[in-house]
Amino acid sequence: MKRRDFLTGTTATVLAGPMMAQAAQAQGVMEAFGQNARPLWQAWKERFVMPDGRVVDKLQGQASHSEGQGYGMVLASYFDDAEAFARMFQWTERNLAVRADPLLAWRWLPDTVNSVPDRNNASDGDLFYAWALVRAAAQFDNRAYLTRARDIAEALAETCIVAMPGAEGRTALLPAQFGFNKDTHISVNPSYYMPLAMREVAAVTGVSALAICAQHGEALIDQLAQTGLVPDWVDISETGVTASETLSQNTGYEALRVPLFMIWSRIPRHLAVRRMAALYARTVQPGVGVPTVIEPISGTVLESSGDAGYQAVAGLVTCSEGSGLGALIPPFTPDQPYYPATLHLFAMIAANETLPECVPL
Amino acid sequence: MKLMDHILRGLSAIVLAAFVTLGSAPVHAQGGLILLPEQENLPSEAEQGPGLTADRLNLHRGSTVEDDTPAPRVWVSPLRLTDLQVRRNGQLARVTGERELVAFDLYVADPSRTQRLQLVTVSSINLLPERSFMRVLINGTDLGRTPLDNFETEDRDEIILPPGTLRAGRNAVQIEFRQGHRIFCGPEASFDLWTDIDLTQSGLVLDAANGGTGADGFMMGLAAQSAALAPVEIRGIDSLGAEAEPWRRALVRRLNQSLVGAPVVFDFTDYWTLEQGSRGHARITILPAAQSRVSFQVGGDGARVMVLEVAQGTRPADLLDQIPQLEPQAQADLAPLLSAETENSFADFGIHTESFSQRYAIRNHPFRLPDDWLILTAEKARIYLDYAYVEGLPPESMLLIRVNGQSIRLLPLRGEGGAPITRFPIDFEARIMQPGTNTLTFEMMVPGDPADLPCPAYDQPFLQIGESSSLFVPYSPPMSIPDMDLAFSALTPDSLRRNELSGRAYSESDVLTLSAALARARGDIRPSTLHLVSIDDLGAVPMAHHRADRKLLEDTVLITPEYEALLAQQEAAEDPFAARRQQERGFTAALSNIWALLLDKVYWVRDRIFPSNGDQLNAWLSERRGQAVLFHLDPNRPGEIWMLRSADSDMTKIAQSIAAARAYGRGPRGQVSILGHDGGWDNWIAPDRQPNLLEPWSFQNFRAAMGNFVSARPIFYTFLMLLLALASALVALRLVISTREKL
Repeated sequence: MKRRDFLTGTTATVLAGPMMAQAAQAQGVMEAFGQNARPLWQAWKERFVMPDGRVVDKLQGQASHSEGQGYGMVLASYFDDAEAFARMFQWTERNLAVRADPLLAWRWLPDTVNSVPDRNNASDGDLFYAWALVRAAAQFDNRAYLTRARDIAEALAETCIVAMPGAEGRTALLPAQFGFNKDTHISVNPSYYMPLAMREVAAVTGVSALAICAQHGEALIDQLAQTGLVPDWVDISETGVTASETLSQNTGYEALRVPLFMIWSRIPRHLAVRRMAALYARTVQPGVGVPTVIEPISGTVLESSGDAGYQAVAGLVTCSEGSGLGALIPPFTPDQPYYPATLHLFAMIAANETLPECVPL
Repeated sequence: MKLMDHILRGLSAIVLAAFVTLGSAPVHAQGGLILLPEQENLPSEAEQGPGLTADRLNLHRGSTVEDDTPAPRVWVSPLRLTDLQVRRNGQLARVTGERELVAFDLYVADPSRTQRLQLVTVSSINLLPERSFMRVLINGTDLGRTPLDNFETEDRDEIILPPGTLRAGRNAVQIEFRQGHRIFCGPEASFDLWTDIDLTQSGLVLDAANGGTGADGFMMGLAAQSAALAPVEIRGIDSLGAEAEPWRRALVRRLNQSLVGAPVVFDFTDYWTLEQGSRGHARITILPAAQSRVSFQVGGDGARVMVLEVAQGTRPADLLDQIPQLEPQAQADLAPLLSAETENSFADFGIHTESFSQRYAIRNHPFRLPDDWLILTAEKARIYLDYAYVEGLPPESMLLIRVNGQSIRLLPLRGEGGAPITRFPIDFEARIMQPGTNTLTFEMMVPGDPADLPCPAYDQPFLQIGESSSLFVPYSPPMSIPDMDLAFSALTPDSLRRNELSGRAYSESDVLTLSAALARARGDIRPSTLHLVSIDDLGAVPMAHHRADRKLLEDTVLITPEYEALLAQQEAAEDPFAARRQQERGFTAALSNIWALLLDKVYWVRDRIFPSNGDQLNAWLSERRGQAVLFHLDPNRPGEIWMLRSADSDMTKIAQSIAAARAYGRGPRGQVSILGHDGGWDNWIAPDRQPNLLEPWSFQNFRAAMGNFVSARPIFYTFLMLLLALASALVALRLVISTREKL
């Protein structure tokens, strides 16, 4: 059975006709997905979004992060939930947009006198926030969202995109404005690169540095994947790219997102994806936890988890290798922590957008 | 560990560095974090330490603190109860009586991977533990006895299976329940002896990762998924576009036919689903493809998945016929068809030599007569019974034989014990039998001796009925009479019809549940329809000339037994002087009673002469309450039934009653049938139904056919003959008088 056959079949039956433009097809598929999978979004929303629009990570002391707000708003845009989007946006503007620049403080803590003790930003949170606003501006026909997205994109490019040491003409995405740019090196988190988001934000806002940085990021991740799995953190200096001296060198909960974001960004054959697919094919079994922390060179599994969201990512990544129709993506359940639950929905969206043959079996 | 040490060392360094930073910049620092109160006061990068990232490093690690090493999932491949007559309440099946043999199916994918059979039960406190046990047989291998001693709460007993006991695929499991009473003995004590077996927890214990795959693994998952009467998901059927409907029908039918026992309910979903309550055990996923094929996989949630890749134009049978595990089981067959004018041996219609070892036992055996067989006269049918019972049974021991619920003979079990009795003739009126499905019932009672002491240990059966016994069915000319059984037995999932109003009373899930019950292959005999109507839409039910009172109909399904009991309680409590007033009415009341009695008699005669009067139906309805009502009142629409349900009824129970009626008979008949709260069907047969001769009148059929016509409305025809005689006499008298006048 060829994947093309599935696509032919679905196109012939689910979509209206062979002459339909590719963009319209994608739009149609996404709209159908948004409708059919709406109960999943409702379940996520009920579990993790407070009435005031705050996205809560209960396992992190009920904290909220710019990343969570951005993730939630991206999901709301995919599931066409303008009301929820607006609530999350308003809460974020009220509580995290406290810096002098347009970027967001990375974390909000409940039950404290000073809810935002650290006003540093998180570039992935800012990126997803801007991406959500770009999507919502078109989806919900709101120009104000676009204006805000442009401000963030410009600030993000200005503060977090720096020249990559030792690689002339290439740029890197810093995880935050402060703390990662040392005298000798910079620390980079490969999972902060979401090429699709960077390109779409760049295309709409005109901040081309983001698109260029996305391209450089893909190359960096490809370079990292040459020797094994992509780690959570790396140091980049004039001498080259090395494992982080102070931060996690493993392929852990951070780096799990790398293959997911590559697939979502329409690069399912990226080496980072194939590396991870090989590991999953070797280790994942039904009823047994999915590897979540792995030694990147040897592939030794250090930790695993039974949360369905990690299984969803593994199912998608394995399916991208083209072993057959369908993916071992489990049904969505809100009965898991915020992070795997979010990755679960992301995996479903990525499958639907990039690999439609990878429907959950 | 080395790696962890490294990380910990790194973290220590981070914290230390943070403190250093705090010391140098107390104004900006708080608790290891850099404060940025004002943008212009932002610290320079030189002032930042790695401490800034300490919390960020662990941002997602906490997500898995609770679940670092997930416990392997344990599966139970459950015992699937095959007998729908065993009383069931959700996942519990209740086995009542002193000795019952209950049959189950057990699906196994890989027999070498499992040896543990667990049985989860709870028993009545009346059971005497020393005399109560289960004896388990798998594929004929006796696995010995397990005591029934779980009295307070459900508990599990485990049996280790010897190698070679199981085989891949379907295994036949029989559990003999032997239950002795602590104090009493006899039929009444039998009812106090029960054991509930948990059908979701009882079965083979498997490690989820080794549960096995392939078609057998899928069947195992299917049995597990449906054990708690939970729906089985069928994903992506809408992707087949116009071809979805035949696939939908075929899957519901085929999967229900391949699994014996309670109907399997399906839920048709999109690919993107939400986990419902607990993790799934089995599902079917349909993928449009260029080439059709079937495969079996284990889903991301561990469910056994049958993946159907379907190319355009593929017929369901093309794929499903490739799976031997989906072959229809025997239960899907129609009840055996008997022939008229011959002796049909019990073996021919599926009754093999029956042994009764209980103080009380009841066995039902459905059989079928041709749809055009009809006898309404006093013609006799005959059973030649071969049976034997033990000597020395207590004096009131008896065997009651019934056909379609009507007692035809009570045989005392005394005097001739210890020797077989052959060809004992039992005549009964053939009109008790009906075209279509009938039921022959044996009910045996052996009192305790004495009744107030535990029964003595006794292993031999009290009674045996031989399969060489026979039933003679007399000749009938081909005739028919309006009756819903013919339409009921022909119902299929395609027969269901909803309208806009009924959509509120029957959810999509209700319809799917009913479809499952109707999928067992009694259909395809003739087209038939089941209209699902809501209480707001009672006007849509064709009543023909029957004048059913709408309020009575509503009360039938709206008033629950609990509400009725409450009303009765209130009435009794409200008026303590009612009884006294009644006494004081005296003479007036007596006169009134006599008048009412006379009126009743007049109405009785009127109803017999003009039986179409609707009051009989209303009187019948007024005394009945139920979960659902089936109507078949219009003789001009013989293939259509209308169903009304109670608002608080459970469609799963209704569907199970329907499935049981189609498998074992004693289902809806006549013109109106009420499914009671006890799960039994109560039928009203219109007194004015008219038989119809399906062949030309002839010398051979005249007597029998005319007999049926007259027997259908005897008093009407008596009065008709009387009127004719009177008219003839008047004509004759007139003729005599006129002749005499001329003379």
